[in-house]
Amino acid sequence: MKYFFLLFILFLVPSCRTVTPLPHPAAISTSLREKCFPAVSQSAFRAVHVIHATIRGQSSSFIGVTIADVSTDRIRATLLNIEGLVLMDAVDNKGKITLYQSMQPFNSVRFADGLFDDIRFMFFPPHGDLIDARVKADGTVACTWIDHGHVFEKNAAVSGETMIKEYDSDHKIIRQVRLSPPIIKGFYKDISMDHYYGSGGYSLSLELLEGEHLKHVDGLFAP
Amino acid sequence: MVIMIMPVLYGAGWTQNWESIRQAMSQIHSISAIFTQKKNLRILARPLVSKGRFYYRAPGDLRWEYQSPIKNVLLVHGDKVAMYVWNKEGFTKDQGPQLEATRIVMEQIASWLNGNFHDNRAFIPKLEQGNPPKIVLIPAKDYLAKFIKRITLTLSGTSGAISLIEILEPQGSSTTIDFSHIALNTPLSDTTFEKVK
Repeated sequence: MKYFFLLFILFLVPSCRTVTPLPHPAAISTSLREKCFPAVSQSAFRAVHVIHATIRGQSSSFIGVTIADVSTDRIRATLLNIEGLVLMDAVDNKGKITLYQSMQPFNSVRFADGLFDDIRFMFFPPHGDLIDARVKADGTVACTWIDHGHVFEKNAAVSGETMIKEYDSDHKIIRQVRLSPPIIKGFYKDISMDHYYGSGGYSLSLELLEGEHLKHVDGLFAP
Repeated sequence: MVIMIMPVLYGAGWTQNWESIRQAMSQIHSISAIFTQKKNLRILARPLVSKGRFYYRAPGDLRWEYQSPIKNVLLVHGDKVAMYVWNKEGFTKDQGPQLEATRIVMEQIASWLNGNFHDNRAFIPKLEQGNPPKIVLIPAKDYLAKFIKRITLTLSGTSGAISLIEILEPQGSSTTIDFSHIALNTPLSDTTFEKVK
């Protein structure tokens, strides 16, 4: 039994050396928490982007209108083709999806669900518990959240360049988004996202056409 | 011949009846124009404005080129349809699923430019006299009525030309395409409809 205990200690000691101890969530100061949740991502907004999508080597372009209210967890997404035809118009109200208008092959709740999930990943602060926050030597603010076993890492450089990564419970990367300056009225000009889903995955590149913060949004979620 | 669209008086001219419209349009062998497209959505504070150039050569060649805010080129040459979009790698072929919807729209436009409003069974046409005269197209098929409530073509004072297209959607959204600097029957080479640049 003594040998077993010794073996256990010997095994544990080097293991502990490789793991960086994370501070207790309560130990993260208020000022660091605020750095992890910039004020801009807490508000309601409307943004129009040109979206370039690449799926299995095939590329396609759209115009996307996003209306989001972070505080009430509501999103409206309208996807148009370049000619202005509405391909999909849907609302996600706290996870409940309603399709107002859609054309094949954009007419599935599954597609809308994936779209809203990506919008949340790009524009909303991560859910779950903030388990680590620190300012690196170069000024980068690094924040880590955990939510249902998934880990979200956010690194915001002094330049404004921000990278968010999501890992599954096996620490395998699922997706990452890069938000690149310039920042116009609180909106990043360029956003690129890589989704490592299944065998193919997909990439999205968003270019901001216009963005504005909104005070009254209720009417904008109605059909 | 370059024509600036201006208010004109429409008398007993080319818009008098379907036959005069068909005859006038059959005299058009090519069109080139600048267009301004405005997309109105209830959820937008202001219309989404796109600008570009348009080329048509009878019977069905089209080049529909957006220059802002996105550089995008749709080429229809014979039975070949291709769409290119400008991104960080330059012009790349757009192979997205929405290409089919775009192709249907462009086929409709080519059909109208030929003056074939009754051969096309997708829409029921109605000629509205006035100043300016208009052709109103109502979807004849349920699948189209889901997305389009009405299309209005405003006829130009210039024989055979359309100056404005307005597409009204069931939910109240609309798209207007305003043509200006219209040039008729100028020679257009195959390259215009074959090559993206």
